[in-house]
Amino acid sequence: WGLDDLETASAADIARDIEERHHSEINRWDRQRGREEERVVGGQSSIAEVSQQSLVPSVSDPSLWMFGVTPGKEQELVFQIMNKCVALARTGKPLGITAAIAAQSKGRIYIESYSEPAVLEAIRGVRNLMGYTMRVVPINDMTTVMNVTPSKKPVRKNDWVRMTRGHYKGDLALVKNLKDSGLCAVIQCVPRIDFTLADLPPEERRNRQRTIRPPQKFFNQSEMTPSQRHSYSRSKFPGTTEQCDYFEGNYYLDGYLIKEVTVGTMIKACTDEEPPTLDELQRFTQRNKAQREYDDVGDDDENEGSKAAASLLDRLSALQKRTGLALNKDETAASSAGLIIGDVVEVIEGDLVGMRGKLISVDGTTVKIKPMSADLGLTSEVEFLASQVRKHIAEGAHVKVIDGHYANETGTVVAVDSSSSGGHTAIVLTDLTHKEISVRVAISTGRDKLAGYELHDLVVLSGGGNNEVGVIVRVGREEFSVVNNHGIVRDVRPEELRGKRNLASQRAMALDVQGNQIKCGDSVSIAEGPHKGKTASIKRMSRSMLFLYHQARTENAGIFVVRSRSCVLAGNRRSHEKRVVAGGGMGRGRGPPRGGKSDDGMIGKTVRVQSGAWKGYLGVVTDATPTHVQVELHSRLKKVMVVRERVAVIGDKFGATEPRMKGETESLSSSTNGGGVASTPFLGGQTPMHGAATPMHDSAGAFTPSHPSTGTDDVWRPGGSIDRAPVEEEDERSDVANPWGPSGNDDDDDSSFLTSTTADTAGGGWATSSSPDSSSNTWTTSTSSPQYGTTKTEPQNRSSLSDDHASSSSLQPPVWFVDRVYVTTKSSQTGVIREIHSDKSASVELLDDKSRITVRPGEVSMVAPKEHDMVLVTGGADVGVEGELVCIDGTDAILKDGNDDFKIVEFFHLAKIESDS
Amino acid sequence: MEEDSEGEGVEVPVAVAELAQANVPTSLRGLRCCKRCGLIKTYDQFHNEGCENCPFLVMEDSANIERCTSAFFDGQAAIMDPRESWAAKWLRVDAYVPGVYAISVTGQFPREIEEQLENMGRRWRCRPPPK
Repeated sequence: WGLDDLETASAADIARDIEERHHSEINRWDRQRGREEERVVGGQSSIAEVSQQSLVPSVSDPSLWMFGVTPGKEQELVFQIMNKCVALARTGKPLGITAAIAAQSKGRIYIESYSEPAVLEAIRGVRNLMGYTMRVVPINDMTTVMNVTPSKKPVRKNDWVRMTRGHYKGDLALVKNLKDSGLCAVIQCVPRIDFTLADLPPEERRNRQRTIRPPQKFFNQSEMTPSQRHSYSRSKFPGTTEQCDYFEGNYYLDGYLIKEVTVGTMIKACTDEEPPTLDELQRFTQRNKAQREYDDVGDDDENEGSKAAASLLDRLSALQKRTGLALNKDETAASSAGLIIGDVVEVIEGDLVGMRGKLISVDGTTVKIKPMSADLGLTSEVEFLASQVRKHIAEGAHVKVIDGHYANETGTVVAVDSSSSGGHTAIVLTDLTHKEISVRVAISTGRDKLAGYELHDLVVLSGGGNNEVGVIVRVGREEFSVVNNHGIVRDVRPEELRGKRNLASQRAMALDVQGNQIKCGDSVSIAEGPHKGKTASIKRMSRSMLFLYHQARTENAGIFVVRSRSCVLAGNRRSHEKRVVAGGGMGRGRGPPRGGKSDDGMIGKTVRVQSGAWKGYLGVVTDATPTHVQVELHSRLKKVMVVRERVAVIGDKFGATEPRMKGETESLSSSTNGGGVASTPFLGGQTPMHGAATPMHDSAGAFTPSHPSTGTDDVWRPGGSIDRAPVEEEDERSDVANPWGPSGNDDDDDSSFLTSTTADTAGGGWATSSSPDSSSNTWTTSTSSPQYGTTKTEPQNRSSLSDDHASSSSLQPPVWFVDRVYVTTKSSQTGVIREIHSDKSASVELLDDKSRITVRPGEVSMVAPKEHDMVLVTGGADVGVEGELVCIDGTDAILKDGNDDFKIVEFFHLAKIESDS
Repeated sequence: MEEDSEGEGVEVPVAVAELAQANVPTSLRGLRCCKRCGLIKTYDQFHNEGCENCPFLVMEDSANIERCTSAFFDGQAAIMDPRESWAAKWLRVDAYVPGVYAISVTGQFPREIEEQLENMGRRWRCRPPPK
């Protein structure tokens, strides 16, 4: 089976061959000994690969079941099951399972068998195995189960290794000796001892041990405090003859820590990707000087490890020097300046132009490269002239400038320009200042991490209280700039950081000023404080502090700190919700958008059920549909669905806020007594609102439902006549004054004037929704709506229903009554409000003749904006925002605000204003 | 021993007889695996019994055990029935005795043993550590 054969053979041939193989496999049992020799041909050629393909499981193979087990017990369990099988086989009653596998997946083992009962029997009575997690592995995934990557790697004596866990995690160490045939290693490394610990109270000591990692420092017995002397002695390290310092359970030789560790779990060999750095080696060798000073030890007695480090250091620096020399010699090869072994380089000349590879050596004017592309996979290295290669920097890579004017700046490569006169340059957008700088590629390198921390990591800072966290805004050569949760920037060294909190930040949730849940990645606009009006996305968050990121900001890498309560959720999530609600409103046919608005408001309100089986019960609305609300009753542990019309809102989520008024009591009693139509006016307060609202948005046709009801409607009259005699007159008047346009009502007193405003604005269609309710508890617009067949009016509900506007006092002019707003007067003249007087009248400059007239709020109405007009939002969440109306979509309008952000606002909230220009 | 079990044949199926003979690692520590077949046992078990699959790798003195077994392996597969098991087939241990096998074996035979095995036409499962 060569590769060529495979290509030329038809699918049928392959199938037949595989089948044959399976058959022959079964026949081979008898001659098993000889068989494997047949198959064997040498090592790992491609032939072996192909035949491994033929071993993929088929339906005739046993199935594989997966089990969850206690992590760490996988191997033990497999042995246990094996033992069980062997024991049962000895009794002559074998279990029908064929294999048990513990691969590299943590907390899982697999059992292979033809029969499920056999598997169940096999796991019966086995501890640490969760039988309920049993699952069949699909046949296609069976090979994946068997995939393991060799993780443990033997180390040799004098290898450089890195500690992988514990106190010394990440530190460089040297293998001094191997034990247990390579399973155990004796290593030496630079200790991290905190001599000050002994003098601290136990609690603080524990805290300190947990949070602070002492710096690498050679053991020096003169630094011990007197109280520590008793835990010090001289003794031999087990298995050696050398006399060591023994201190607090550890051995120290020549200042180095000597420790026995298990290979594979405690230490890992240094890979080519992470070789010992010059810095680390220097720290390893610095011993020399210090030792000679205090120990009087000559060069001959120098510690072996130190020597090894020194020699490697020499070798490395020699290598670097040679690299430098090579480049000095070849002055013309400016583009290759600064090449370091291990760099990814690109060939820029010759046959292999464009090829990328890793630099493996530099010798004089030639460099050796290991190609990275697959088609040259067999070639281990290719030699080039130094001038034929240059460092490869990919666009989008995060780099740190290592030399020159911008040394230590980090940033993202936005462009690589090879044509510029200065040679090969990269444009780097810096993290900290968001400036674009141009750097010669030779002097930048791909390191943007320091001690495992990266730009924009949320880190815990040590010192200054326990809760101080910050976000890294700059990664320097040896320190970070961190903006902390108070918005203060300071420089910290890696040792001062107590770990990352990125994950916690990702999971965190906070509430904005409107009570919306916000989390990382959301975009918010800032409602107050120095950053007011800005929109930014949440990069990290810690408790109620948000670390916001704005691309246009140049300071602190675009990060600034704001309290979550000072922000409003912006963007998709909210407007999406809004749209859904509005859509629901539309779905009800002529359902008024304002009804849709109150859908929103219903949830969380305290309501009283007005009729039906749950009449009189108080509860909280937990859910709302266009027709029903779900009420969680206060007195029963129960949620009931009630038709919207049958509930009356009497308070917010904190309980009933409005006292039961006389009117309500009476209305209830009247409903009991009278029943039927006559009583209904007092049940459910929404309908009239809807009825009244409908015409506002639809044009003429929509008047019908509410219009016939004015004044003469018998249906509401009985109710009114029963208990509202005193106000009836006013009702009537307001009904009369309800002709959906600027009324001829010239009442002078404030309240009636407002009443007329109500009617007026409602008719004009650009009323702020507050107006119908602004006349407090009077029956301004009691109307019957034909859709519902009943007239329901309830004063108590009025103000709470229009929750958005409850705050607007009845004596206030509408929100849009401010300067620069276009208005239409009763005489159909259009003008612009120029000035608002203290008596709530305004002077309006008429467009026609530029003359000024003085008007009261009730005498004018808003002008409907058209596309591309400047508009002011007079209601809803974005109240107060000015912007350009981009387009109108049904009842929604899309506008572009000053920040060039788009907002979706309900159209009837918009007032046309004069543009600034 | 396999010859024995084949002789008994009729009463007990071969596979069961073989399984009854299987050597399971007696401890969780000091485990090693045969570099040729991947069979996992403790050092002592190798010392006392050698490797059932590879009798030609004489494991009497400790130096030989060091050379022919590896402490570096990943994944364990307890194979109860090598002939039927797909896992055994996949690991190419289906011709061996029941036992616990390593899924991947890291290590290298000394050159002379490698040559010896090549001359015998036998393959081995251990692979040098990835660089």
